[in-house]
Amino acid sequence: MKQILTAIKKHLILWGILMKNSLMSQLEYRVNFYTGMAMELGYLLAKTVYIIVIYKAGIPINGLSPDEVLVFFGTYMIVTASYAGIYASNFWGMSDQVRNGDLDLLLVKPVSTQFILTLKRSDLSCVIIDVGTGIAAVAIGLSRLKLSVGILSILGYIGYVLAGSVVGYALFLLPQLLTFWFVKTEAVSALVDSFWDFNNMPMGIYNRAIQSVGVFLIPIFVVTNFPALFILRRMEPLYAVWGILCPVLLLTLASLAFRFSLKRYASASS
Amino acid sequence: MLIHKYLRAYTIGLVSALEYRANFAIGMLSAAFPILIQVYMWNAIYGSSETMFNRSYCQMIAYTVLAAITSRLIRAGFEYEINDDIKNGGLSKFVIRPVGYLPYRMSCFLGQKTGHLVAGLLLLTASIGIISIIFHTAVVSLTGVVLFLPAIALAFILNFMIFFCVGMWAFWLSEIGFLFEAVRIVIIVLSGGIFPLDIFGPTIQRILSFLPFYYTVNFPVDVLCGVIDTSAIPFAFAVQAAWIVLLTGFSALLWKCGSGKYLAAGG
Repeated sequence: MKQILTAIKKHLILWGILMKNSLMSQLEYRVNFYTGMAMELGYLLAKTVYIIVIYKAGIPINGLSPDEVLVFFGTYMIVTASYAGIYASNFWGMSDQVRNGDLDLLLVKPVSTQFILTLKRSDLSCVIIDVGTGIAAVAIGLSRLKLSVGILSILGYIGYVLAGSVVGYALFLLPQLLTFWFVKTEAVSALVDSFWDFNNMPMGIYNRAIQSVGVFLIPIFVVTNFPALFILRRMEPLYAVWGILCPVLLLTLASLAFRFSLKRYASASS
Repeated sequence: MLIHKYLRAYTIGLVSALEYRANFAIGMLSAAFPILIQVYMWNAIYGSSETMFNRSYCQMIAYTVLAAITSRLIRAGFEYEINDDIKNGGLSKFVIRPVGYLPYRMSCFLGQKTGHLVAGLLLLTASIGIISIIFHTAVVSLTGVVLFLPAIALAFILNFMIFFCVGMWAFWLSEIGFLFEAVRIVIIVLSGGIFPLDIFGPTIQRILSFLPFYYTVNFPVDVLCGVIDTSAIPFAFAVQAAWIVLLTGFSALLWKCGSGKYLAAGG
């Protein structure tokens, strides 16, 4: 147990250093940093039009008021920060590292290969925009709903946000592992990327069958719907338990799948 | 002879698009998720209302599907190649060869898009058929189809000119990759590629109708679905054509100013 805790501590410290390095290198090329922010603002605009539609329609969406939908949207933005800012760019780069044999360098490092391959880079320009907008949307939504939120609700919400980020990481890592079989998987990345937007709207808009698949089989709705359901006090007890178990199970599955896939790697370089 | 060299560029574009046909197919497939999300969203919104944003439920679903296909059909993407030409010295060959950069890019783009246009139009036809069967009503009229063809052709050229001008920003900006993506997304929203511009209300919709973006997706799809007033169509065609002329002139100006800054690095 002590060894596991030491390893986690080591990786967390290393992750902090990697994030600091990413930020420093981004600030070195400031125009790139600002254009990165401009790109994220563009994505934000595309997502905001969904909220404009909901407010303009001015009617409840399957029992959810526009303000409640705003809380779902804000939560989606907060968790999207972890996707767009932390792991997605690493996932997209995996194919290149495998194809060019650059993975060799990572294999010899005294840290988890999965950790260094999937969390090495981060884009903090995305994180700033997404977290800022997300928190503002959730706060506005909750204040308009006049919902009193205690410290326990906030802590629970943060817990489900973190759990959702872990589920998102594991769920979106699995298809990327195809790169060890097919090498060129850019098209798969583009397809999987558009799958993320299923969280753009509350899962309540889908029928029961899609909801069940999206919660238990391909748990895409656990990623951003669960924190919003929790803070809006609409969470069913089964979902509350699944929201805690799912990240553990899925992360274990992703880790096993990664180790299995890594055996396929046959250094392409010299 | 003049046509021959651009015909060669067209063939290069055509061959390259056929080589990467799986990319186009997957690009079309990735449109399925946003369509599905929007269809369920409209389903929930229209649950208690017959008409919303000046459209019936059937018209809104038709718009959602047809706009998603149309925006992928006219999608540019060559702005990254212009950036590459400017940054890596690829433009040098156009200085010494009797080939104009704009017609060369246009020929390549036409070649790349020929296969996509055929596939996309077939997909549009299939989608119209499926929607008509589901809703037991014809979502398009013959007049709409006839008027749609020139509308989409002009939209295609207009979108090319917009992104040709955007691509030439690379003369002035060194780190431009993210900016291209930002511009692309904003243009998708302003063109009605996600939702019809009616959702913004009459004032903003009127303002947006003066910009060229409306005429690349929203206008052709509305013509096809017969949502737009027939008497307003000739004026809209004139605006489409005027924007093409304006942007062609603007691109020539950008080229003249930008080529003075060109360093011919690399190449």
